[in-house]
Amino acid sequence: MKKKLFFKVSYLSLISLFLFGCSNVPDPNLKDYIVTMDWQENFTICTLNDIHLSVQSNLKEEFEYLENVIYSRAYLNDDAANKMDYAPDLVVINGDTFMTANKYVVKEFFKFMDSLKIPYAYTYGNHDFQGQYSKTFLMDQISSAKYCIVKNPKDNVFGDSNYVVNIKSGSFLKWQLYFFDSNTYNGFGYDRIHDDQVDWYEKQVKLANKEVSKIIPSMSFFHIPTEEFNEAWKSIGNKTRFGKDDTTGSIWHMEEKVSCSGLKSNLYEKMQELRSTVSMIVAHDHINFTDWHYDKNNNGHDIRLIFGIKTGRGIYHNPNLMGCVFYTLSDGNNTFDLLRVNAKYDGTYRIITDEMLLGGSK
Amino acid sequence: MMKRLLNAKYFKDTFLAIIFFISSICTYYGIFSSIPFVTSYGRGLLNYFPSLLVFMVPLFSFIIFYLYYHFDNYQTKWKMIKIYGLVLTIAMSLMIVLQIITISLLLKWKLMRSVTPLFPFDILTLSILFLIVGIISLIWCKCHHDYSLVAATATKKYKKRYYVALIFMIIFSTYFLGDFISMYNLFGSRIDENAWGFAPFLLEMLLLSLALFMYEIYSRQTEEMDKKRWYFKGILITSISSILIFIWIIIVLIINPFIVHDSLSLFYPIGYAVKIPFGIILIAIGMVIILISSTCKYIKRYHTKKKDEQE
Repeated sequence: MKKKLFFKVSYLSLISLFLFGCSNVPDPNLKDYIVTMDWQENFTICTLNDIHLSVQSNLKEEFEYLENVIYSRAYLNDDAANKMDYAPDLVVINGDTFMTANKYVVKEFFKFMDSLKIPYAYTYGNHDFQGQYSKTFLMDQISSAKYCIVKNPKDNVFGDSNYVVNIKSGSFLKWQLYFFDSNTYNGFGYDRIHDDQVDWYEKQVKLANKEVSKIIPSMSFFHIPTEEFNEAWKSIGNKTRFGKDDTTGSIWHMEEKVSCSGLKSNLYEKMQELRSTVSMIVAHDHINFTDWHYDKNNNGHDIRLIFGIKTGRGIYHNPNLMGCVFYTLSDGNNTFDLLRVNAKYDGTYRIITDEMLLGGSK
Repeated sequence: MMKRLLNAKYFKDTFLAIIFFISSICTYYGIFSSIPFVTSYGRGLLNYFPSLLVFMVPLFSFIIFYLYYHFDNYQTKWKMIKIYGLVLTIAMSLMIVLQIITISLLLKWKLMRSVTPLFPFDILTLSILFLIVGIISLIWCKCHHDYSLVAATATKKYKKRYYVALIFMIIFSTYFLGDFISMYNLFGSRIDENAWGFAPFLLEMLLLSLALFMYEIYSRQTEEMDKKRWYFKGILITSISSILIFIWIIIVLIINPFIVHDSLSLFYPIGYAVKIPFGIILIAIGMVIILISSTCKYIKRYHTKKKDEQE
């Protein structure tokens, strides 16, 4: 009798565990994903990609380097004394900040970032959870960091870093920045941005446009490139390693293949259809830099497909293509300027010119 | 006194269990923290190589002592302790010298806490401790030199390849037990939304240790009938556990195919480099090999023998 009861209880517990796992979370309000920032003249975003901190990283050296990268425009202008004047308005950490790290490394990183007192956005890469800590630990560190602006409401949307930054001048919405979790793997290869994330994006764009009755320009940031990066390389770059296309205004420096998902994401199509987002800024491939102006469906809406520049010496890298990219948003239209900086650990800084990219980044 | 203590049954079991537990944690963390050697093409090798070696000492100790208790010849036992002492003394002496050079030249005698809480000083202390263990082992060998002169009284139980397979099994089972122990990282302020499906993946990591444990029970039987019974029981228990766990894993993966990549990636740090959770597959392959070879051996040993006897 007791045995039967035991089996019944165990069976019911298992079933309830499964049901708990399958339960749905009610969708939060679209506005719960929005962070608001004040517009500044020449609003500048600094992107840091693929930092790859591990248990073997010399954190003192790495943090010193990261700080110098963020203020590198001061060094480029020989104005180190006033480096605070060159602080970007927002730092975007675009995935793979950690790989084989532990809790100590993670905690120290966010302590360091907060010490800079610059707002920073964070997206997850495919390696970020590959360490001696749980996913919830990293999320807790992010949500408790003072200057980190990530919003991650409990929802049913795939991924964990889908959120929007509204840049406003007073009550006037100037730009939007979309951050996506490009997820990790699907069991056989890299994952992609899922359809429900695309739906979420559509709703957010429509919400913003409805509020001001016009299309708000936006940029998007995520870690793993979409297959359009590969298509653009084929159609604009003819799969050549380095090149420039004056017709479209594209430039590319490809030292490795595009590591995108084998599965199709509908994000690009949706972006072309909605005509709000002007760029997809990704990381993931450490020794590629691209700025494709790609209009896949010939509907007159170019989307700039940008591989940023890898930050730091964590895992494979090209020392001449190591540093960051600064994006300066224009006021009144949907364009932005781009400054590529090569920063080395010995304290040398230089702008990565088109000529350097075309000559193999020597 | 020492000999009596080493041979006392309770001491032997407790001692082996403790070293197995410690070596599991160390092997797992040692392999985990040495992944950046590969991904950064050896940068930092000078700083971190001693820590990798120190992390591997408990595993080396376990293998030596496990085999020590499996050999019956005093001469072989003495040789094993001598090899153990020599390897520890030489390796740790070299590592201490290397560490002093790197700490003074590269790290400037400063804490660099990331790899371990007090790195590099905790690793240096452990190296000194292991050097002392090595020296004590060598002194023991010198004091018991007469053991080396004892003529072999027992015949060799198994072939060399058997011991090689056993060592491989110990390495994998300690690594995955360490991986299992690292689940303490899952406990934090919040419960992961995928926590409902973690159990089979965690239990899978214990399968190799279970197989080793069943083998250990079998090898301790003295009566042939008991040996046969435990051989059969071992195969049965391990097979049923493996099948149930793998079915459970499949059910969880059907419900959420992304669960491993989404919430369990901390358990498969090496596999992620190749985009698939290689650990799960490795354990599955390991279990299939162990079960097939054990079943074949069982049939050959007990059924074929019985048939021959009947004929």
